[in-house]
Amino acid sequence: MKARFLARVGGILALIFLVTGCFDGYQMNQLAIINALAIDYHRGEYMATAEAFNTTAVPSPGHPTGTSVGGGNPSAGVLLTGAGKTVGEAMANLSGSSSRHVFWAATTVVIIGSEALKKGLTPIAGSFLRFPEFRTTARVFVAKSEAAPLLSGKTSGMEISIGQEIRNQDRFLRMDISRGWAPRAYDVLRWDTQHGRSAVLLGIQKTSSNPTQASQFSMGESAVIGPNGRLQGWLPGKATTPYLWLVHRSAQAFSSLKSPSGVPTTIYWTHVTSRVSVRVRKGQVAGVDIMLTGAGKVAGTLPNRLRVINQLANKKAVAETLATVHWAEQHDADIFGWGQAVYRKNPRLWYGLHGSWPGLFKTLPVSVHSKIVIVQGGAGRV
Amino acid sequence: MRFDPNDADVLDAVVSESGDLADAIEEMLFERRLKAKLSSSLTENVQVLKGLIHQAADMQFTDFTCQGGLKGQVVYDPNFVDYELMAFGILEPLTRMTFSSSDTGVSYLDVVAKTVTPIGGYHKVESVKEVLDSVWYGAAVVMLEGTAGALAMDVGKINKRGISRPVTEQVVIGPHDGFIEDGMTNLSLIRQRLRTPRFWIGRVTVGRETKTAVYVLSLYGVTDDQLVGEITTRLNGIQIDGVLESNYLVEIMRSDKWTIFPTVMRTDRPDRVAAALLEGRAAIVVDGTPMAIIVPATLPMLMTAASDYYQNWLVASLLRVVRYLALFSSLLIPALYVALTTYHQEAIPTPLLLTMAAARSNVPLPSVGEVLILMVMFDIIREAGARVPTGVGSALTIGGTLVVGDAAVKAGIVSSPIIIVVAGIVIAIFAIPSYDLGLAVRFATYPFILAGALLGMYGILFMAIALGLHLASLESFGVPFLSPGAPPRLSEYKDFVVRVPWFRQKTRPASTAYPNPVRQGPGNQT
Repeated sequence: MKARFLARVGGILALIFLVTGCFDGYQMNQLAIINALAIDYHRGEYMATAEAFNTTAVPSPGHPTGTSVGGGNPSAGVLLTGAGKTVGEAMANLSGSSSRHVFWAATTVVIIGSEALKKGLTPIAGSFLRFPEFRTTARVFVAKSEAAPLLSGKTSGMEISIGQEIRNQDRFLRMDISRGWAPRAYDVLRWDTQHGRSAVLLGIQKTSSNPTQASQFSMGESAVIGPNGRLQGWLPGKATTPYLWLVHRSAQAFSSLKSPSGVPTTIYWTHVTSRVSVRVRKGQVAGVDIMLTGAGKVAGTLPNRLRVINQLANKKAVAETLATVHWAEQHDADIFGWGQAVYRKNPRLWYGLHGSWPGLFKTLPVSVHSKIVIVQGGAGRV
Repeated sequence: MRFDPNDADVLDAVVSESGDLADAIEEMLFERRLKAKLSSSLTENVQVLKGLIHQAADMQFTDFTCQGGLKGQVVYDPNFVDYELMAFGILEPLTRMTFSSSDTGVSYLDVVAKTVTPIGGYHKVESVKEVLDSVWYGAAVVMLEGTAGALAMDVGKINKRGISRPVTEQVVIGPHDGFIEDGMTNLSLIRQRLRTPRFWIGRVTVGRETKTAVYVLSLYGVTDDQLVGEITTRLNGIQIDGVLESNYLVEIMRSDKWTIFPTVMRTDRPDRVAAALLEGRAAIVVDGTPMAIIVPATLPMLMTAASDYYQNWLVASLLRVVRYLALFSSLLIPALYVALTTYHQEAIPTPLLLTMAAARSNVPLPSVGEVLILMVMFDIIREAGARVPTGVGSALTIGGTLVVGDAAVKAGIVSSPIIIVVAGIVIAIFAIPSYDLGLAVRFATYPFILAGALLGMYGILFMAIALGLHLASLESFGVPFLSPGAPPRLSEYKDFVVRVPWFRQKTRPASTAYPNPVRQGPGNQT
């Protein structure tokens, strides 16, 4: 009895050693810590380009100013590449090209090239799942052309890698002036289960093509991916703000406004949120009602009475929202998740549609009302 | 069986064992002489004593002659007696006595006892052993010619240091007196705080050679009688040649003998002993050491400091929380560092990961190697620092700081974050109020490090479970070591991780003071 007990304990301990053990460990200086990943499709192969942190460039007691081969300022990032028939194979080949263990868990930025996107988002998103240490909080961007060149070039000289720079710029956009919203990898992984919803991935491009200059990026148009995982179009930058109002319930942005007196002024939408309700009547989807609320400020001069500006601003908000909805209807892209709203409201109704939602979405009557309060922003109070 | 001198085997056996036999015979003779009764011949008695203690150069024999001509001897140890008291209180009156050697049938000792009585008192001794015992307890033993037996006069004066601050537990606010090596002084310090007839002191002598006085302290009506009885029984059962420090008794007495964790509390603070007695615990004061023993002791009790009760309850409670944090930190942080840097780098925030990876870039050792080297180095420095002479202490500090703190990092042997980790836990261990518990934690850290290095977080988890089970299995004189945490005793939570204010502490701990749990209220009036 005792021998059997001991054998069981021994077996459990052996299992523990087999599940994880010394052989699983990597010392930190054996890691290639990946910061950003670019995925392209070129001549029938996926190309994975990863920017790893150059840890020797980080000052430490061992090398107080950082070191680089051949002297000079060390680069904050090191590029690794790999190609393969699938994204997973490309990433595996990338890992094989490094003398260090490629460590994906610190990846914060994933950029997908437009050609790769045309092959579909599903194989790319699926490859994230195959690397269990891949952190699904990484932000996913779309490059209007190839993704890899975005990771090469000089940084802005603040001892950060290009991936960090992109991430910082995205954070700035999100926190301050929202031009878009880069979804996290896990948003991408689960978006295709969201009842006909189209995904919106923030587009990114380099503003400077001069290789001697530090890289600068702009984030404006967003890629719209249909439920089939293919690119549906590029959401214009102008439509981004209403999109964020409707989906993310908040966006800080500027809109120019022409007053009756003819003097242009600017409205700063400090926080605008929306309440979207799907109307169902007699077992049919009858339409969508949108109510915009929140606040904005007059960012420029006050050419007319505030009440007039208030009315004009609300009209502008309604017009911009309707324009965005119109764009979405034109491109068969339910970027607002209204199909999902129908499902949540009445699952039986959703399943009764039998896949006719894209057609219904195009003809859905949409009404927009706005009760945004505009206040006068004083100098320096914008 | 008859011994046959012609039997070669028997002869061989006798020859081979002759050494042991001789020793045994010598030992037997020594014991016999020790237990021998004093004879009426003064010369013979002196000869026997001198023969027994021929190595004891500190023993003095002073002969005197009474006015009547009777000869006598005073035997004493000059280190243990008050010379003035002996000269004027004993020798001078004896020499003025008119005893004569021709008188027969007169019990001079009775006369001496009635006329020459020092303040400390006297007692009659009849054997050589009693003479020696009395001498080393501070008596001057008077022997007279023609009288069997002797008189032990207590003129003792023990050399002792003055009362000073406690070494192991210092407080800013609160009493600053600490125990010293003299048991009676220590008892007086406790008596100053417990002027009640309920404060009982039992005495047991332990140690064949040292004859150490051990005092069992209890508060009648509050301390469980069974606890006091159990302590006394265990003390009486100790068969050891000597007790030089209270730990001798602790290791023999306690139930869980193989654990590294202290299941008794040792303190050099009289106020802690008094507080423990008021909680229904018992204490043991050992002559010759400033460290008293308090039983039963639990882990939460070992995590309390004396000052917890002398300052604002809220501050004291927060400090206790800090102490528990220090306890868990010192146990887990080196192991977590090893596990995180070897297996679970994804759990480290990226900026920190980069800094740590950069700091490790030139380090040839794995992180477990770094941690172990530094831990051992710090332990060596700490151990050396504990007994290094004051004059060379600065050299040790400089050496330790330069070599471990700076040069090792610059040389690329260890990385800088690990210095912070190890230095942090070295400091954290000192936040644990019980010195014994601190020592235990110091060494309990190593299995955690190895588990973290072998199995990562799994290993640490398993080790934590194992440690939890081990601690839960311990008990101190019938009280579970983790009490009142496990098993939970809600009534004692008022003085657990958090101490509630005194006006809310109306009862004593139920696990120890159940004979009289009332702390505030009528209680037992004496």
